[in-house]
Amino acid sequence: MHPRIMILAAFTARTQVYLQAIRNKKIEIGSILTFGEEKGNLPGQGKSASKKISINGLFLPDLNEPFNETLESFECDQIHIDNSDVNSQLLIDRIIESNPDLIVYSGYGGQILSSHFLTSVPTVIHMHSGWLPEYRGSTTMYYSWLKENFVGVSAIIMAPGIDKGDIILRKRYPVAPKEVDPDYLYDPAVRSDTMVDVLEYFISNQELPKPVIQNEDQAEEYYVIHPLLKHLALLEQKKIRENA
Amino acid sequence: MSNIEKIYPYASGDRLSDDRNTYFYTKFHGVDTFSAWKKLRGKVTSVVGRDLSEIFDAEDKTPTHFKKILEDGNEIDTDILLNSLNDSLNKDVVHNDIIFWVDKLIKKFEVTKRIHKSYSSSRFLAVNKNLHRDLTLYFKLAYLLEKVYQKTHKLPSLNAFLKVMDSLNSQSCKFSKAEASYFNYLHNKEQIIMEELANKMGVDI
Repeated sequence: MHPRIMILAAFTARTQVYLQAIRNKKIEIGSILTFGEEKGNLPGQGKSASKKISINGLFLPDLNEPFNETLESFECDQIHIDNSDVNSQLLIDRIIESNPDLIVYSGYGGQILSSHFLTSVPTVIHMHSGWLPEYRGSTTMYYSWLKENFVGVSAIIMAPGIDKGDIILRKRYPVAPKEVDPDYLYDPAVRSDTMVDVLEYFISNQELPKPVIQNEDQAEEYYVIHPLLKHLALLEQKKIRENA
Repeated sequence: MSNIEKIYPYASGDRLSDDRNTYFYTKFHGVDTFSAWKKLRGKVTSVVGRDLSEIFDAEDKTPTHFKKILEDGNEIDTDILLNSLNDSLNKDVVHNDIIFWVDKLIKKFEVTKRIHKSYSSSRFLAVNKNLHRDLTLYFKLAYLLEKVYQKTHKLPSLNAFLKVMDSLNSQSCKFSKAEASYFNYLHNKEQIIMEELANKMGVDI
């Protein structure tokens, strides 16, 4: 039996990238639950112009494609809730009614799933753009870029506490190429690359890869990167490309 | 808003009011960001820098064991905590107790962009949310974060140091002469760190 996968989708560039990556790999999903407003101003709802290109085998989506057009290209169940609060009871009820086997979370920036949410719904997975447990928190893509010149993605099972869930897959990627917007395109692109690997495994094996508990002794917490540090990373990459 | 402030808006306005920085999805302005940052910081610093160590209380007034701070009562006085951390940083290597409290202060500042007068010992929540405008606490925290970064090279300390400096920069019109000289001292430190990092990465700022 084909497992029922739900995409819990905020109207963000990340969701757009996730959906296009799923479509690109022809992965069959059961439902998409969108929440909030398409033209809202919550974190993550900015946009970057992009060309549909691929870099080093990494699928990069077309962010010029209207969100609705992306949604319409899926034949699965589609549910929408106006409320942008991911922890609302209405949203939890809709998930329970839909009865998915697995939920892929793509929410708005800064929202934290409540314990009530996590205990009420089936397994939720999240793609964190940081190598866990060493890079927990926000904008960790830039921190590993500055410290170790790579970008990591960790697929985790959502649990209470920020980025503390068990790890089901980790992948390393080169830092963002200079011609690609790191926030709105590269970050979701590397996350979606890891996500499709997890989903393909789940569909083939009817279960997730074996979860690994995070070693708390290795954990470091990061917060939204200061623009000066972010600029150092971006300018370094620009310089490397210019010298190449 | 001037062009410089458009490029570097994080130190303008009153960043201790409700117009707090979030730093979400900050825009890329290339190397101009660094010149805007220096110019805005430089507006404050017409006086000579002065070491802030003089604003910390002498060692005999501060507790030596940080865990004792929790046991001493229901409130953690932020000023005492900062004095205690400074005292310990002057004497010791950066041990786990220092990291524990510095991490707590970083988290609190990163989440609220404020430093409050005191926190509850149970959950480290601000006892009075309105008491967050004592600039001395921001100066002390910036000083400690810089020191911790120099000793550990942990990026969260540097990240928070830069943000505290933005908050202080936004208050510069209220600075006393002494505060302006402390700010100048801290900005010199800030600039040295950023230039060292940039050099290491081969970036001209």
